[in-house]
Amino acid sequence: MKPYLPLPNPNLPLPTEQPESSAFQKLEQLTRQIRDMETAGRPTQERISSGCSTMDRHLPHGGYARGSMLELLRSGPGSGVASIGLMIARQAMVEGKYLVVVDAQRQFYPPALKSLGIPLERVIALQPANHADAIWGLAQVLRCSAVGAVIAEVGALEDRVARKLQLAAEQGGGLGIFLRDARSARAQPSWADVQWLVRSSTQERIAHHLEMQPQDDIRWFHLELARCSGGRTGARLTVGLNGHSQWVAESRSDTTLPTTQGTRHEHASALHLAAQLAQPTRRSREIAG
Amino acid sequence: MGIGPILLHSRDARRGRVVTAANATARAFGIVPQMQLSQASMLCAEAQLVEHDPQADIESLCSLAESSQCFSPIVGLEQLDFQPWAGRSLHQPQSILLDITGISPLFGGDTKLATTVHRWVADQGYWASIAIANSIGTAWALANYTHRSQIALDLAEIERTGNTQSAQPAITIFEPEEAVGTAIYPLPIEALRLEQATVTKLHRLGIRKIGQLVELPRAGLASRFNEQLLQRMDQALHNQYEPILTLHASPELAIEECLEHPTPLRTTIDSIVTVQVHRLTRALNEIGHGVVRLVCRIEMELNAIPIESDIENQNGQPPPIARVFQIGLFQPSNEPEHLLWLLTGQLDAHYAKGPSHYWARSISVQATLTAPLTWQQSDLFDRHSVLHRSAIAKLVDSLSARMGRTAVVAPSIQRDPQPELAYSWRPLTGWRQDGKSQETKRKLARAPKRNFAVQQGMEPNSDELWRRPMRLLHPPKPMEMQKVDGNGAPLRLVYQGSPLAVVRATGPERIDTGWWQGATQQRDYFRIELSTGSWLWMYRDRREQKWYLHGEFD
Repeated sequence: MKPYLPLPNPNLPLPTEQPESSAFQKLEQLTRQIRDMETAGRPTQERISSGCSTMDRHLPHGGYARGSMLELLRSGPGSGVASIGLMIARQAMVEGKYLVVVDAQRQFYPPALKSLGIPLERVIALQPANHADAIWGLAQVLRCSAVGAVIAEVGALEDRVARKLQLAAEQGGGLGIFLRDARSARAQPSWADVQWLVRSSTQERIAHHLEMQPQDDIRWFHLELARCSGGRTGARLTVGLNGHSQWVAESRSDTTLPTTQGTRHEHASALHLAAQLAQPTRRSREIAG
Repeated sequence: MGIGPILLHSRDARRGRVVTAANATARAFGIVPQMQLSQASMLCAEAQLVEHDPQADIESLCSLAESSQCFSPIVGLEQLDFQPWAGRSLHQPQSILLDITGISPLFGGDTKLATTVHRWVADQGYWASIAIANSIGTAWALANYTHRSQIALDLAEIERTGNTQSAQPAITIFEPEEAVGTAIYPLPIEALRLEQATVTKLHRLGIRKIGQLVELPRAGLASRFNEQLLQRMDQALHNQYEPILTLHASPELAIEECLEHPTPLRTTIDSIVTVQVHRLTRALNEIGHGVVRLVCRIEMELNAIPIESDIENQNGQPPPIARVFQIGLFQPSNEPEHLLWLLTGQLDAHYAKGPSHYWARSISVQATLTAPLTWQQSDLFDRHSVLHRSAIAKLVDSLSARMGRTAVVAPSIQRDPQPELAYSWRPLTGWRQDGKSQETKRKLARAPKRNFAVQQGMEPNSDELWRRPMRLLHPPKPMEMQKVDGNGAPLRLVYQGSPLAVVRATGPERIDTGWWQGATQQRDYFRIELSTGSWLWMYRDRREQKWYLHGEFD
């Protein structure tokens, strides 16, 4: 376990012993310092990779911070937010940590969780009877250090409640993944560090877009980074999830804004490789044919 | 308001699905336990089918027994034999035994005690048959067989009208001076708790009533039948002593304090409970055990001084009310602070309802289930699970204490092709982690473990992510289908009020349940991609020719 990061004293002057650098580097350094101050409450600065290199590239430090909250906004029913959330949660279940599913409607389907490769012996479901119990339970779960990720369906949250959950998450060090309706999220500011708007795409549209044959067992999503603390918002990307519970990234990600790390060139080539690795036979067949 | 026919069913290794229990309405159709479910559903197609859960049965019986300690300090369940008794379809305890030696005068006599118990049981939503006698054997026979036909009629009436007022309480009181013959002799021999083999043999000899059996020479019975017959006859007819195996903890694990004056004060109750829990954990420390289940009983009394004459005169004397707070733990714990914190949560919920007319008269804390504190590491390299185990145990305990045991659950996968039966949620607390069952529940473990052959394609597979939805709707939602292609795949449907085109339909995946599982399900499942990008899981019921939405690939 890493030691806690000391809280920077705001009264001290900023360190100046570094050699004079360009304005850009200076800006980077200041950004980092602000971020360190903002996240000083978190137990570690460790990041949880989403398992998808395309998604990680748009996040500061290449992943989701432990002890932070992530919101996945649903554009309509059956748009796949739970699948994406569970894929990220699976990454957070390292070192024997648990996944807690807050499921007031009792709709989560365990066989699907198992298909996603989530170890069911480390899954706990909360089926609260009312909203108050759900919020209380959510705070308890986020505060527990043995919980790697929490996935919950939430509606509009009061600011006080959201702040309480945020503090609980910082204390426990797990990742809070909230599934929300896009309409409810637009009405109020978010306390989450990262917010993705998820749209499920149809095969035909994607096939046209990617100039390839539609594949039966890959589901494509358009993600839009609606909010990202410490990073840049507005990025749009297209990712796929195949039947083997693996991410498939497409090579022509139409990122609208420059990313925080890496250049476009690296970006494209790495993605191409990832796609090939994910579906080696299909890709080669396509190339051959 | 009536209740329809309800059937409980379970899986038999050889005969498939069989009926384990049927309510009186269903029995009127001619359905009897141990009948195959396919036969039963032919007799009564509209019956509601529920899978039998023996664990839930025993849980409710145990909690009823635990709370019935307001009538007697010695409460237990009937002790089963190795073989099920004749006349019983289930091999599980179904009776609660109370030792009321010297207690009935406190309630104003046997009749009043029996009436009070009957009313108390009815308040909990059950319909009981009660008998008071000098021995367990006699009481068991009277309670089970005196009013048998009357109870069946009463239950049918209650199920039809939903009204328990009209039915007569089934109470039998056997006075000591009464002749054994008049009460017991007319009962069938099944009332002696005999094995089916013995009963069949006696029936072949033409012996159906206990009276006939008693006339046979004892020596002959001993040589022709097993010992059990004579022992059971002695227990029922000659008051042979039989112990009650109590459900509650041994005396050192149960601490009770009676207050001289009843109190409404929460602080007093808290301080007493604190002292009791500390004493209990000290006692448990000595034997190296930790609490898995803790019961705190607070007996209440109406805020008035009861006068002796009132008890005599009033027919509607309020029954003694006991509040029972139970906590179940994820793993055995012996920390008083943790236990108190969990108990306080429950007390808070009770006292938050505002001041009550009932004041606490006596408070007791007992550990009804304990387990050794040493936790065995299952795997040498399983370091991480050890690391998180205590933290997760505390979390689960606190969640269960506030939200209830059934709200904090773990998933388990069942091998069943029918999607809604392919999984179950199991409460995490109140079980012994080493898999051994509680003393009173051990008999259930004797049921042979059935090992069904692994059937391919039933287990969820990590290579088929998009085969099953993330969310399953229950019950399935009827859908309006506008257009279907030649192969039966949907082309256009109405979803959430607007007509939408189906971009792609993958399927059908045909799921048929076997005829032996009762109401047969014949479904063709399709994974449907709508033009909006939504993925849905739908099926066409091939018997009804209707479409249902069963899940969302969310």
